[in-house]
Amino acid sequence: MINKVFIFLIFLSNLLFISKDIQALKITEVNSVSGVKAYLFEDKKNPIVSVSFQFSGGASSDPIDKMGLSKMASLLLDEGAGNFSSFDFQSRLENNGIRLNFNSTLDSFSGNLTTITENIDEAIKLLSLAITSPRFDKEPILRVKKQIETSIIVEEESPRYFANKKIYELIYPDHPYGRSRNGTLETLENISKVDLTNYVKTRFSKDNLIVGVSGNISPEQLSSLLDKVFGNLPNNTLSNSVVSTISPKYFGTVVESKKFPQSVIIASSPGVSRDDKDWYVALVANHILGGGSFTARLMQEIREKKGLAYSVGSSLVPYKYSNLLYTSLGTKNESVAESIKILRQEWEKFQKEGTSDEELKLAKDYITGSWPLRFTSSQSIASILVSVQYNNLGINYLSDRNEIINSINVQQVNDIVKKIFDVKKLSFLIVGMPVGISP
Amino acid sequence: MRLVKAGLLFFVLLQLLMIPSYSNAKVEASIFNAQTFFLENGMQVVLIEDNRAPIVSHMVWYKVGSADEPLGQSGIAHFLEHLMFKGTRKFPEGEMSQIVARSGGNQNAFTSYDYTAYYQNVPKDKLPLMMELESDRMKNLILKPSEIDTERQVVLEERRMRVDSSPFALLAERLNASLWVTNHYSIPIIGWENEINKISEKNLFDFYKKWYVPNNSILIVAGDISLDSLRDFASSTYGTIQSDSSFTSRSRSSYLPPKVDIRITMNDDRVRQSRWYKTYISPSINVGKKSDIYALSLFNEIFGTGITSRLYQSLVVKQKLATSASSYYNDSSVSWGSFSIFVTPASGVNVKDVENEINVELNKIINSGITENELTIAKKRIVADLIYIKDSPIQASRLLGSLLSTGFSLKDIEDWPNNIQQVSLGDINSIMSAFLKSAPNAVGVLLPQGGEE
Repeated sequence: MINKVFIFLIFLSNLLFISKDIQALKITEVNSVSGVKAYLFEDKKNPIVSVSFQFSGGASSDPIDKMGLSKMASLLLDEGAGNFSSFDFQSRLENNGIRLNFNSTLDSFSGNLTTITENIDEAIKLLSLAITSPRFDKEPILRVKKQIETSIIVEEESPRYFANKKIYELIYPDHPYGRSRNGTLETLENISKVDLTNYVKTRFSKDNLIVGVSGNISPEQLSSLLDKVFGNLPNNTLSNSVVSTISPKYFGTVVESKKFPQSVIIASSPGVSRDDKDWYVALVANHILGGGSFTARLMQEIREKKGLAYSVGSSLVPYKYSNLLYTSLGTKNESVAESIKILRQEWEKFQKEGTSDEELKLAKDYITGSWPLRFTSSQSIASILVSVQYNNLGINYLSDRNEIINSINVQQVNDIVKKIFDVKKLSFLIVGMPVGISP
Repeated sequence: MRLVKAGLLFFVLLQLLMIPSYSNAKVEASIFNAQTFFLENGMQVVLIEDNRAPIVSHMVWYKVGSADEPLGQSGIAHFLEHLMFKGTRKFPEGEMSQIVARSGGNQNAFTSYDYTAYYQNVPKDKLPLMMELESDRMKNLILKPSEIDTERQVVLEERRMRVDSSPFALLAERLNASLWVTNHYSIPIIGWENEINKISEKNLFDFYKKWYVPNNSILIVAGDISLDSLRDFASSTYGTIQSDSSFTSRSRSSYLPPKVDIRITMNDDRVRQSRWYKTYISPSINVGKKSDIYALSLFNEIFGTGITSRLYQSLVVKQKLATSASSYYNDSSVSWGSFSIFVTPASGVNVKDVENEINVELNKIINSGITENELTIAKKRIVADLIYIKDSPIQASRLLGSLLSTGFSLKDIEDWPNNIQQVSLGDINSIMSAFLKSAPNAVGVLLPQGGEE
């Protein structure tokens, strides 16, 4: 179907289409009668509405013997609800071109509903049923369990998936972040219909709900939609899980032998909190060293000048209870030692010499210029509005953000680089058959 | 393809996992809202105007892909795509990347069997600059031996990542080689390692000179710009490039050898979970009976698209033999198209038992066909999503580019929903029955080391 192609394309190209002028992007706060708040970007151009929402508490709140619970719930909410069986529910979505999906991450459970305005009543009804009265019938539970089990097994085959799973175990030992968010073959077996029903009852509530909406809907219509979909949720969450804060653990160098011609290298070190006053400075610094652009130092040194890798990059990953700086690359087994050497050199050079006016300007021009390119579609705008609220950035964030970036100076970047890009804090996981590496 | 995620990934995924289902995404020109004209040098220009945001997507599509490569030079189309970022006299050594980044733009490129495309997404005031850069490298690319050799290593790392590290990708490479034999689709887009190693500066330059000409390319712009402005910009950039009068469009033989049963089984000790798939050579927009592509699109919807499809309901829901089951149909190719079925058996289930049930479902189609009700619902579903194209003009431009560069005319695209509605129950049942009985096909089975079917 077209939606599959589209999802894929969205994924590939960070394209965006937003209001006439990013500076004037008008976000309205809507508060419904039953006390549900949403940020709205009203866009009358097309007959499409997209609703994104998020409940806090994701896989890291799953009980240790029932890891995978959040994942299972995310795959089962649209597999039958109210009077509709799985088949009936799915038929109603597909026949009306309604897109509904749920997703769980370490820190949250989220969903998105996108529909044409003509079918909005049907769409609202289905979403409301999914989050308030999912059926969790025996057949879909059994099926989804098997599907997750298979995906756990299949992911073991991929060096990248395997390395990614392994690094979390290494840096977050004895912590929910280090456990498999999709569960294990054992913990999935422990999950019952009662667990799933309780999950919905205890975690979905108005006090931990965030909603972002984009598209052809007025504030009045949205207010009524919010009451219909979320109005009947309990006011307060009953979930009492406690997650402790943790810093990524230093583990030196670990080699996991896998028979692949190319090694996957992941380097980890402590990152920066999204709430930190220096967050944006760190963002710019990371962009210069290993951010998404082709002009980044790691891309230039490792790929462009040496041809050692196809992909190489670093990113700041701020979780609710930990902050990570995640660097990765793939190179043939024979080049692992050389690639790590260059990576370390770049880290040291960056810390010692910092950045220049010219390099900082290029980074700022890219980060600010590409900002409007983030608003891909109604769905992407809706989800950005959720994230703005989740991070308490304020209703004017979309228009203020570039000013914050532009105010950053070289001294600030050099200071944060000294703090963050510390080569002594780098740990390396290598998955493959690397040559010349002694752990 | 340049940056980390895009490019070939797109095509490897489509090719190996999805098999492009563009077929289902034809929409009326009125839905694309596309306008088109030709420059005097033969370059087609297409605009999808959308004024919601002050940005544009700028894409150039060359009607050349891996299936147009000279024998023995596999991977050259993709290799050249990498080298297109190296520089010209005017914008040497990575200056283009700097300029695009400074403009706040994203850029990338991708190579397929049938086309190669380059794009930048930028704030709208940067469009003329992007057109200057892109038109410059259509004609003035500089290839330095040292850069070629370094980039060759990058391409080989890319191959290791996408193919050599993935048992399923290795299986698909072998299956395509066996299925397509006499057709260029038998050769992997990224190329064979030994041939990538042998490609010379001269080979690259010859390929570039032959195919990168205005009369073999399409410019697609989506975003906040008027047709008049676009015409001005295009004339003063691309329009200054001479048409290549010696250029002749590609023509490919559609010859296939006599049909034989093909089955590729691969055991690999990295594999933990068996996989089964089957690919049929099918009619496309260019080869075979054109009316068949509409029936196949609808059949694909009914048989293997989504949770309510026949295949999923039977294998995954009712019989619990598999954990995933789906089909994909690709009709937008220069030569034959393809119809594929992908199934992941449930753990502990024999591949043979799964395959038997798939054959039961296929035989039901051959013997009894689909029902009127299924057809009615499929027709509704297949057009229900078209509206979302309006929500993402830049993505629409990708879709449009892939269709136009493989031989769809704007009229074909415009007529697509109508042609879908015209398919009768009698047509689809007789077409599918004949297709499933006679189309050349190959089965691929991936197994753990020592695993049996």
